[in-house]
Amino acid sequence: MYSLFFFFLAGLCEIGGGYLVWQWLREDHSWIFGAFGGLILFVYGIIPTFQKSYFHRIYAAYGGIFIVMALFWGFFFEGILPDTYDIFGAVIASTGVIIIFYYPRKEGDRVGISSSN
Amino acid sequence: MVLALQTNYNFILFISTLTLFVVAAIAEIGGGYLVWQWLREKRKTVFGLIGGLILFVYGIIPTFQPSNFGRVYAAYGGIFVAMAIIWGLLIDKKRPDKYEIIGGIIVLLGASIIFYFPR
Repeated sequence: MYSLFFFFLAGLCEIGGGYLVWQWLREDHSWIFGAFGGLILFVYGIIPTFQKSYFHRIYAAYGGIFIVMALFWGFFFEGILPDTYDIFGAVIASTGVIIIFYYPRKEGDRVGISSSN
Repeated sequence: MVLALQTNYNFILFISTLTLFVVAAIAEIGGGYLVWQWLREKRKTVFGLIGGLILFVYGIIPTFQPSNFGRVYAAYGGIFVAMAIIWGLLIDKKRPDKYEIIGGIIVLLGASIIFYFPR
């Protein structure tokens, strides 16, 4: 559950930082947006270093949460409601993430966090 | 004649947007990797600085995508998952197992639907 908190925090920083840079370059706001965005993206890069390990399977779990967060962000901050295919695609992508992370492997390792091989 | 031009255009659009996604993922994973080297592997500060710079560049790349923020980032998330697995293979020499490959393909399918399904 600790991991989940970090995923959410990382997602906020990654999407938020990216959004500030987006506002700077796409919506022509001042360069300060870009500078802060860059800073927050740097902070986003630091967050995983607090986790025990960050192997590719954990990245997969993070990616799944990221996809959903991005759609929510677009809705909250841009007022753009995800359409049928956004949601459908997100559901399929999340299914893929669940397979990567949770599908039981034969050697008996259940969840991706402890083993990464 | 018009149909051929439209097909060419769609193809170029597909290739260029896909390239942007892949390059962004390389920048994000690479930038994060350098920051990891700096803080966890205790490498020199310059690793962290360059990592931060690359992460900033990573933030710039999606602004070239021809779509709205939420859709670009949601689709990118799917590409990112696949690229993270590929990175694990190429850089960390960790071969993805069967379910990582299957799951990775399904995630890419989901991302393609979000971004490329015709509206």
